[in-house]
Amino acid sequence: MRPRDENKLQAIKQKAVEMIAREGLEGFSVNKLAKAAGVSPATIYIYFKDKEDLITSVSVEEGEKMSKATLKDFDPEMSFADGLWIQWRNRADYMLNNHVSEAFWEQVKNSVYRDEMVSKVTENFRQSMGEFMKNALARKQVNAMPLEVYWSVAFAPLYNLIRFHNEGRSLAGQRFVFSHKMMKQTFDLVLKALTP
Amino acid sequence: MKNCDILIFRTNISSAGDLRKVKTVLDHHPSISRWNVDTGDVDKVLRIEATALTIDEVNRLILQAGYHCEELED
Repeated sequence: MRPRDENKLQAIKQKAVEMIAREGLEGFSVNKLAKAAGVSPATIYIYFKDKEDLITSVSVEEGEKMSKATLKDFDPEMSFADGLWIQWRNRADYMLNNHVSEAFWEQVKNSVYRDEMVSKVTENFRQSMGEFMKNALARKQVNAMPLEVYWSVAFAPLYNLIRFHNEGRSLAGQRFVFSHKMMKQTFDLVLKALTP
Repeated sequence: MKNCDILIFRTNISSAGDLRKVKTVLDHHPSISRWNVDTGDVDKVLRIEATALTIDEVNRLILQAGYHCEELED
């Protein structure tokens, strides 16, 4: 049978991410994907043993892509304020410029594939974040608190700004566009809340 | 006889009981290194990784288990 064709495989995976992002996991099937990608179902089965294998594989890749983007220019030795800012910038860049990945994550995060996606988020990511927090605590640059409390203050405000942006409307129903200035303003408030 | 790496078939193997019967003929076949059926798919796709196994041979094996299959063309 045919040899593996990396370009074809990439095209299949890309199309799968797009389809799931748009239509969700419910109606997703190998047949539908084959039609959308312009290949035969048999071709997809060359690369993946079944639908679950395919979804798991693309979920893991998306997870890795996300963690890599979040760690860009980041160093756990950075001061707390610098390190957190880099993460804000990276997360904002990623979410604003990767709508398909973002929509894919929204579809997958309440499914059985979530764990696969999260568990494969590279060890590197977990280690970097752990080290960063350890350093910040030792240097007394951040207050001690449960992880969930930390996350709710450290990142949820950013995600909410981006949600307003994606909805395109402010609370008052007016047009809302995310700006660097607004991100910095929110970040400064967050920093105040987290630091001694 | 042609050598095959991955063979793909449409089948009527769908239940756990069906799988058990197919298992008896495929699990210990010397040419087959791995196989599975995507029972969630409308075509109940049988995927076989094997060396030196022909389409006809697979047809015969599946028939022997009481089912039928048909190669899915690329």
